Amino acid sequence: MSISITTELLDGCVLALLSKEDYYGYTLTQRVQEFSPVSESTMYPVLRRLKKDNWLETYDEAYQGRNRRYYKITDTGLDRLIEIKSDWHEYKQTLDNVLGGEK
Amino acid sequence: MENTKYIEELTGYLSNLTADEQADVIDFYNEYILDANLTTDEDIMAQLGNPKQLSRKILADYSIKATNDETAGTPHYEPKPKKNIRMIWLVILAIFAAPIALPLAIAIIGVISGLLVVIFAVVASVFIIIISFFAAGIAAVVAGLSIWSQSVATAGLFIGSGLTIFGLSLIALPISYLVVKVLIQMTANFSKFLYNRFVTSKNTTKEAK
Repeated sequence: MSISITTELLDGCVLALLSKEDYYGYTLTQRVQEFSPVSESTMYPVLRRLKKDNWLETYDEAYQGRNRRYYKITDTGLDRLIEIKSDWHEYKQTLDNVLGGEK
Repeated sequence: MENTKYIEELTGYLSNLTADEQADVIDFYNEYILDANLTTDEDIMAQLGNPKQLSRKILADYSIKATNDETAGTPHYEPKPKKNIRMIWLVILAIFAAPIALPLAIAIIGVISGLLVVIFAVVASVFIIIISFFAAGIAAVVAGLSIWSQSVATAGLFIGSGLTIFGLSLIALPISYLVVKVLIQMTANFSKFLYNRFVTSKNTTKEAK
């Protein structure tokens, strides 16, 4: 059986992770892969789009003589997260009704 | 640094992007490779695929974003049908590079190429019809002129109908251009849909919290 995650849900999950703490690319990818097997090459486009929509911002921090780019959720990103969350709950309930939920 | 060859090759495939976009992509993957502790090209390829595959995914994504931006009103240097055809092509390449089941990939490619063949057939037949209308119009006008001395009325009939056919083909030209454009746009949207459905994420079980 296979269910793939949609763009909106992936956006929501990334924003949800970032609403708890800032991550840099590698750890963020690792965290996302803990619950959804997205490929490594999926994360870059996602982060780029979220940044372009001003839902997250980036800042660089020096680490062992190089830079690490951290991703930080913005206020509009938090608003967007609330929106996705409510969409998800609605969708989840609808699907539970159709697919039978826990029973 | 071991990974410079990989990055160098990746950069080579991204020449269509602006310098800023390239730098952004390269920075991201450079950092990712260092943080993931991928020290050899083999390790990098095991995680990210070979540079060509990775570049196809990146380019397909940029191209899709670009056409989306365009519909949002941002002007773009390339005319839209051409841009759409390029996008369809990139999506096909990205599907080939994506880790989805081969039969599925072949089916998707088959559907897209089937649509392209249909479009080509429509374009070709419309083109031929217009050409023949053109020719028929000119022939009728010429025939009318040649019998002018015998019967002005018949000549008038021939010239008149010739010019009518000629005019109709001129009207048909922009209409068929529009139809072709719409067909290409539909195929582009469809490939975009396929791309989002099958390539954005690996198809595996997802457990929601």
